[in-house]
Amino acid sequence: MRLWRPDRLASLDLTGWCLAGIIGWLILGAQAAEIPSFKAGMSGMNATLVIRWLFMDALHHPWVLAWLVVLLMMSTVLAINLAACIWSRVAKTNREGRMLRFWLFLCMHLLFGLIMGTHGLEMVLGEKHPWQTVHAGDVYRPDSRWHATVHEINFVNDPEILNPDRGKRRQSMTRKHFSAQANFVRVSLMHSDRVVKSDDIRIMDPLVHGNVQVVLRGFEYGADGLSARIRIVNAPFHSIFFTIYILFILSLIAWLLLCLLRLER
Amino acid sequence: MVEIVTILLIPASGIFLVSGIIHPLAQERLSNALAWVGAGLVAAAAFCGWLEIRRLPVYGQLEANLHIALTLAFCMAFSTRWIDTAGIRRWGRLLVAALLIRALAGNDGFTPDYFLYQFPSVQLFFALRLTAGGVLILAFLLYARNWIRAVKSGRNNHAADLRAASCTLMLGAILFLASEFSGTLWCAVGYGDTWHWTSNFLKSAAIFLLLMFPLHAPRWLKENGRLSGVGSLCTLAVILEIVL
Repeated sequence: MRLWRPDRLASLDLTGWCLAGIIGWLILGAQAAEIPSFKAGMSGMNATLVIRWLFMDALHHPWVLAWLVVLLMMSTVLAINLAACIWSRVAKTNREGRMLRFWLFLCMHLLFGLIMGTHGLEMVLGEKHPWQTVHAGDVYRPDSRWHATVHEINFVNDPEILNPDRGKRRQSMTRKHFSAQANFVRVSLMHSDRVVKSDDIRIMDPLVHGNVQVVLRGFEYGADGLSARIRIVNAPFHSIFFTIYILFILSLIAWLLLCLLRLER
Repeated sequence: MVEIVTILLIPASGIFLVSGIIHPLAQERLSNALAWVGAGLVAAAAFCGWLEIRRLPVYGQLEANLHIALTLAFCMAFSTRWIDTAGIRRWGRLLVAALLIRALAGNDGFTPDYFLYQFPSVQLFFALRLTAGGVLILAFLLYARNWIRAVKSGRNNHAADLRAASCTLMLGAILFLASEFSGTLWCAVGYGDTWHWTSNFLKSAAIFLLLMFPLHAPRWLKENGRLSGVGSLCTLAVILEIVL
């Protein structure tokens, strides 16, 4: 029972153990991700929202599921530790003459918590559909009210450079041989069979309509001619996530400047 | 242009090597002057490289090691206002020499101009990560110096002893985080996602937490110089992951 005393929940000891545990677990996951069966489970998590994967596919990958559950449990303990730490700082710290330091310290930790929170929300809210290979004239219909019609695939370079070998692709698809600007896919984004936006999508230049994106990953060339890999994503937290991320980095920079001023003295 | 870069890097690595070797032989002035000449040559090589590739450095033995060496050389030169670099200058210069020799040993020229490297978010992802690597080498040296001092004297490090190392670590962490931010932007427009369950993403998350660990170390670690030991080992692990 003593563990649940507020001062213990806010202790740096708990922070240290949590960080050490999560670091070890992430490294273990990174190593396991090289094993084909584990990698397949993780690919499933990338193809759709994690919450959806948990209901649809997780039981087929028990090791990945077990790894994810432990990671989430440790992250939850760290989040509780962070909240308790912030609370005890607000309640106890003597702020006299150190207001800027105090608020900056608080901001940094709050923003870190918010980043983790929005990361978590991105895994459960919105829509994320698997990559789909499409040809000109196809309609991409994922399990959603959003879908996309492919009007044209425009590829101006030699399609032989679309080598399936990843290592060789880096050598062949140089800026000289592959134009990211001139090669595009003309698509229409539709919601319940109504066109809401039409545009050309390029690699690193998706069609954006509010929170919804139609993303082009790349082109493929095979026996059935030229095709493209696209997906539809509805990510309501992207802009909030990026804003918090920038604020977090700025708060760290401000903290560093304060520390440097102290060093100079 | 690769030949010019090589021609500049050969004397630069030699100069840093000599500068590191003569430093403890009461030749500090000469050693410092040589380090400045070496830093100038490395900067000139980096500029020639930029003229050739017209983008920020990405991974690849020549580009990566050249950029990390340049960052470390300039960090060592310009940080003296805030940081007492006595005791680590020699090792810093020898490490710059080692990085330059590693850059030359690759003998593979610049990384092929893969089309993705034209996008600013992709370039910044790699360049900021490599810059963080250079800064973290300095943080490693500062932590290691405090660790050795604590072990030799049998006394604890005071908080003030670790302040410079912690600030340098913080700068490295900020640069690393900025690189991750760039990578997340790349991921968002290229894949429609801000996170991927892959080995690289998991390692990056582990790296950030590893950099935060010495700044959030439990109380029992803050004795007998153990905290500086943990700091040096954490930064060393991150450096090895970035450099290798």
